Order: sequence, then C-alpha cells, then structure tokens
Amino acid sequence: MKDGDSDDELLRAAGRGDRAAYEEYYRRNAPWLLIRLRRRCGDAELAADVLQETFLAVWRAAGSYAGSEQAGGWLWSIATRRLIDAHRRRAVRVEAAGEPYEELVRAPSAEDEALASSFGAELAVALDRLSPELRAVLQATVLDGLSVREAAVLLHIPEGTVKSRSRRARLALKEALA
Amino acid sequence: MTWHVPADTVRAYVHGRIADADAWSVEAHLSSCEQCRAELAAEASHVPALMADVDSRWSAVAADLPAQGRVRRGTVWRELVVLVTAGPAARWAWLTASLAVLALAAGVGAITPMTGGGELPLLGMVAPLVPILGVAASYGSGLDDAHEVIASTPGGGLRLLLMRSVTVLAASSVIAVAAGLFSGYGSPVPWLLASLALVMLTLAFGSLLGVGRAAAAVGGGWAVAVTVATLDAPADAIPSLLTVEFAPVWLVLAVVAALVVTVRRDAFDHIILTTRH
Repeated sequence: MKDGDSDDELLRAAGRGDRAAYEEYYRRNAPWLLIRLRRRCGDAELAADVLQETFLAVWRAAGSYAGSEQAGGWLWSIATRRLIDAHRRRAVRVEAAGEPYEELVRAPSAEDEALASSFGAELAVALDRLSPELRAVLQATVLDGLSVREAAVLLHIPEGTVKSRSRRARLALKEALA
Repeated sequence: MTWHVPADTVRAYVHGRIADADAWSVEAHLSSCEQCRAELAAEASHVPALMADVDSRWSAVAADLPAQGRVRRGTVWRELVVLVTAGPAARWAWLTASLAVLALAAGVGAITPMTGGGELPLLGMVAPLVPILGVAASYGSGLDDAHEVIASTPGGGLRLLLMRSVTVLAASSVIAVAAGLFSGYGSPVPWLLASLALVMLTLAFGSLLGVGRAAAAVGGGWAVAVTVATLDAPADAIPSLLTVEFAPVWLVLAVVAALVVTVRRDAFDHIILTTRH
C-alpha cells in the first residue's frame, strides 16, 4: 500500500479485509472527524466514543462503499448516525446538566476573530447576529444534513422547536444578506 | 475542485479558534476534498490533545475489529434467483408432490395395466397435468406469501409468471423423463409437448380468467379429453392424444397459445391473479 492511494482505494481495500489500508484511512480521516464531532457535542469523551463507534461501523460496512470521491461525506453520514444514537442513549440514561452546544454558546473573543480569516464577511456578520440557538439548528439541519427529528435528538429540543427556529434563522439570514 | 482551505484557516479550525461562518465553510468543503483533509491531518498531528484521543481510539478499534459484513451486489442473475425461488412458500412440497405423483403413475402403470388386454398409459396421462398445477401454485395463489407485494412491483406481471412457469416446466420435465425412463414407457416427446402446450394454454386462458381458474379449466379439459380418447381407442392401443403422430398438433396449439399470451401480455398487469377470497 502506498501513500498515493486515494481514500476511495483505501476504503475498497479495507472492504476486502486489508487492515493496513484501513489504518491508513483512519490516520487520514480520524483527526477532522474528531474535531467536527467535538464541535458538535462539546464533550471530548463522547466525541471520542462516537469516533470509535464510527470507525468500527466503517470497517464492517467498507465493502458496501461504492462511491467515487464521496468517502468524506460517507464517513460523516455514518458519524452523524452514531452521534445521534449516543445522544439517544444519553437522554435515556440521565437528563444531564449543562447546555448542549456549549462551544457555540461561547462567543468568540476578538483574538479569535482576528486569527480566523473570513471568506464572506457579510455571511459571518449575519451568522454572528443569530442567537446561538438559531445557529445550532441551522448547523444541524443545513450543514450536517440532519432531519428535523434527528436535530431534535441532538439538540435536546422538541421537533416543533427545530422547525420554528430553522424558519426564523433562515428568515433572519435572508434579511441580513438581502 | 480548484478552491482549497487556506493554511491559516486550517490552523484556526484545528485549534478551535475560528468563527462559525468560516468553520461551516471548512466543514462543508472537507466532506468533499481529500487534499484538504490530508492537510488538516498533518496540521492536527501537532496538537497533542487531539492526537491522544486519535491514537488511543485507534488502539481500541484495532484491538476489537468485528467481522466484516458480507456484501452481495444486486445483479440481474441474483434478482432472477430471488424472484424464482423466494416466491412459493410450498416449493419443496410442490416438488415432492410432483415426484410422488409421477413415480406412482409410472409404477402403477408398469405393474398393473388398468385395461384388460392393452396398456393404459397412466404416466402419459398424468404427466402433462403436473406442470399446470405447478404453474397455478407458483404464481398468485395462496401459497405465495409475497404475492401481494410482488403484484405491486413493476416486474410482478407476465415476466415473473413466465420465469416461474419455465422453472416449473424445467423441474417437472426432468422428473417426468426420469419416471418415463425408469418405467420403460415409450418416447417422452408426446407428453412433453402436451405439457408445454397445456402450460401455454393455461397462461393464455389465465390472461382472461386468472391463472388459478385457467389451470383448473385446462386440467379438467385434459382429463376429459384423455378419458374420452382412452374409451374410444381399441383396448390395446395408446390414445391418439399421446402418440408421436399427434405431436405437431400440440406444437401448433402451443404456438397459438403463445401468440395469445403475447397479444394479451398487458392483461397480467391488471387482472386479479389470486384465486383466494
């Protein structure tokens, strides 16, 4: 196995039982997946659990991957299912204290703003003007492609609230960008 | 894709110092860009807090790899096999019944001829009935658990009916020929052609009456015709229906019936194929 193999090739090799290819696939993709998961659940331990479950599922299902250059989206779709399952389990166990999406509630400092280069200043300003609750709903439904029901599980809010917040967020963005 | 995430944005994202709008752009792009994923992995390798989890979870994953799932791709051949074999819940019972009936007919016919001086070709009389009943039982009958589901699919009409009929014909012909060889019966050509013609007739009438009723009608018709022919024939002669000379008639009948089925093929998509209720 060479470094030049694409993720597609690595996944297919893993589907045939090639552990070395699977490890290389993990090395390449675990970091971004973990970061993204951490941004979604604010609990590093839970994010790592989901990461582990996701890659176990990837090993089981690698043989069914038939896409071309869709390995990233494929991996993320598996991860979101695992993330939602984890939230369901947790919701059954205990109504934990603390806000979901804590890292979103925290406003970025001036230093953070300066460090990050902005692609679309207008969009950034418009997004920042949204309340954290609206932003979280928008992130779950638009960026992560979750259904209303899944977003409700992830954010610990009723489905109706997801819908109304999503509508409000879109309206606010539309006005801000008009 | 020509656009890539700038290096300082990757760094900001990895270290968690990034505004939401930029983070969203990064995440949307990462899903589809392998190059940027690789860049991010390189950047992340300098973050101990992240790599500790990545490494420890790899150990956990690698230590406990489950069995891989078996992937069966959907091919035309597999579709055929599933459609043909999965349908009739009673397929083994049907096969066993065919075998028993033909073996009995061959055995009884060979041991005790039923008319005084001549031989009554019991096997030749019974053999053509077996595939008709098979066809009737294999499609749209109460024996097919999946019938209602199948009937609602685009491939559930004539195509499936023909596939199952061919299966039934193939299986019962082999059994009939074997029974014929075993019992020392004459040429199997007449009754095999008769089987084919009767099955085609069943399908042709099936487009009007439903397969179940058509099978009953054709089977009954055959029984009457054979009985009459037997009574009519001299005691030591084989009924003319089952002689080699009669074979072209069966062939013509089969072709005509096939034409009828071709013309009326759309009927199988609409009529009620079940005989239950």
